[in-house]
Amino acid sequence: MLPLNNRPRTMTIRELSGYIESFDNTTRFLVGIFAKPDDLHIGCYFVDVDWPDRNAVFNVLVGDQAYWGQKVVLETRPALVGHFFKERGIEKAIGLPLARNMPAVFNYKAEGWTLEGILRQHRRSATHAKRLDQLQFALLRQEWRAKSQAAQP
Amino acid sequence: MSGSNVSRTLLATALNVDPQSLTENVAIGSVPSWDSLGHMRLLTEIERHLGRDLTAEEIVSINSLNDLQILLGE
Repeated sequence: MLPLNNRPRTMTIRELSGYIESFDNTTRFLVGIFAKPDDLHIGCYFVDVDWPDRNAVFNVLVGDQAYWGQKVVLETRPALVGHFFKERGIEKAIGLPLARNMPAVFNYKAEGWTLEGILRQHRRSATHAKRLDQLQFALLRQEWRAKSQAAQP
Repeated sequence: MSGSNVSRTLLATALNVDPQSLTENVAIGSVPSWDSLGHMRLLTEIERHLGRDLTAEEIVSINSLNDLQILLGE
């Protein structure tokens, strides 16, 4: 779990239930990713909304390694981000990958998000003493709208 | 590897394609094999070639073969 800077851990059913219940669908959203055609649960999005500023931070985890490199994020995130822009009034989408989470960096670039900055040594490593650089990518609602219109036939 | 072949060879190795199939303007999104795992393999190959970790600035700078050539001073 180095790209996510988390040590693997086990949870009891009660702990897992409590974690899921912590998503209130107002400021914190937990959205599953399911593969067609068998509805296999392969990952999740975690969305934190800052309503006063209408910003939303998107995090994603594809836990099923069989789906890594299968363009799962490229296929699903635009729809989810579009939903928050269009239906929920979000004005800015933000992504905060660690700099060495190279697949995540690729996905933000491939989706046309803008790199806004490098947060130097912003996180403590979960596994060693070295501090980790973090990146901030963002997509504004007007940029999303322009991309959506450009993609229309 | 030497000269301007280094960048092309590193990229071709990472993407598992023939080096000669890569055009000069190849970039993220221009070839199907340059996906998230291909990108990770590319950066890993670059680090192996340089013998050090890439900085955050270097990681975000690589979007094309041209960027890679600039990073490697070709």
